[in-house]
Amino acid sequence: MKHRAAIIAGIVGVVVVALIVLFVTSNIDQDPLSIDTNQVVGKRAPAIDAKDTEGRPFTMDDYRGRWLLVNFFATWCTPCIAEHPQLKAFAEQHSRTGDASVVSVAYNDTATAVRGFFEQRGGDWAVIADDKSDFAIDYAVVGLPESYLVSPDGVVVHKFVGGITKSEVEAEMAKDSVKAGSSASTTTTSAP
Amino acid sequence: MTATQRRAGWLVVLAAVVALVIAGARSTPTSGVSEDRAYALAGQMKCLQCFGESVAGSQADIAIKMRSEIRAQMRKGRTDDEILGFFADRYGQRVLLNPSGDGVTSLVWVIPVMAAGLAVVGLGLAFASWRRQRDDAGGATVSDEDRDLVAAALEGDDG
Repeated sequence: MKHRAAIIAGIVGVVVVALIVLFVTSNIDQDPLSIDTNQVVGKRAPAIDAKDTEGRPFTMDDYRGRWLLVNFFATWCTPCIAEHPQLKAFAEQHSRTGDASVVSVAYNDTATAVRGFFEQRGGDWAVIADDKSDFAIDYAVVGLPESYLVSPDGVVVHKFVGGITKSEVEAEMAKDSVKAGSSASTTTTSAP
Repeated sequence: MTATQRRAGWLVVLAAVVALVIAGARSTPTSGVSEDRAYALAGQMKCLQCFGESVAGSQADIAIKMRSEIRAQMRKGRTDDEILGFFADRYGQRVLLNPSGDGVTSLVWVIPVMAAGLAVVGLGLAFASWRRQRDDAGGATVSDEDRDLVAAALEGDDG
């Protein structure tokens, strides 16, 4: 009888310890934004077919053969305002070299506000401000700003959480170009 | 209370539990376009921008966007599983508050069932053991002789 009680207590103890270890080693209490659950990276980029704020049709197929940085932003988002000069510098340099472009997708915003934002801060690239679209859901956007680097063959190779810098986008392009021919890298970086 | 009455009592309790479980499972619509259904589906998804909130309870931008997408999916005639799968395909299984039955997360479903099963078996064994002990005692009826013996012993202690 004594032995049986000891065995049962032992089994219960082992199970409890195993559950505690499982709980502690899981990342339940981490910052939700730091846990990357995005399933888009490494897959073909979800299509964005819409009219931009100037009424011109935009389709991602037109950008095949060069890099495309899909940037999700909002005019009311402070980190988006902070990253804008970096986006501008990236877009200006790569529109000259012709190897990369930017498309911005406004999130919960209006075309009027977006046009005002670009008039004030500059930037000459396609901007989609279709509030009824589900592009943000298709790209599994969680917070703003977020950017997705699409390779010339149309695969999302990297997700940037928070404001981007020109150099880090270029570093990812270079990294992926080195790996080209083997397998695409699928990574995520967060703004500090 | 006779054994038959006891069994009938347990059957009534069992029937009530089953009825409540069925009523609970059927209380939320699983088709059509209604706010109840949208709210129920949103309640099964985690707001990834928030701490400890479901998409149903959060006012974060992403939660508002996801609720809007749930309604759009409902209008397209998608089933609950298709809608939850749509979000899991994009945000990963972590977006679902009800964990899948795959991998380590399956323990969440398996452990309670196993614990309940073991508890029932343990109780059954304990009851059987107690009954056996009682039967082995020969139905121990207390005779007048036994009572006298106890009374004498108690008097002796008092003295």
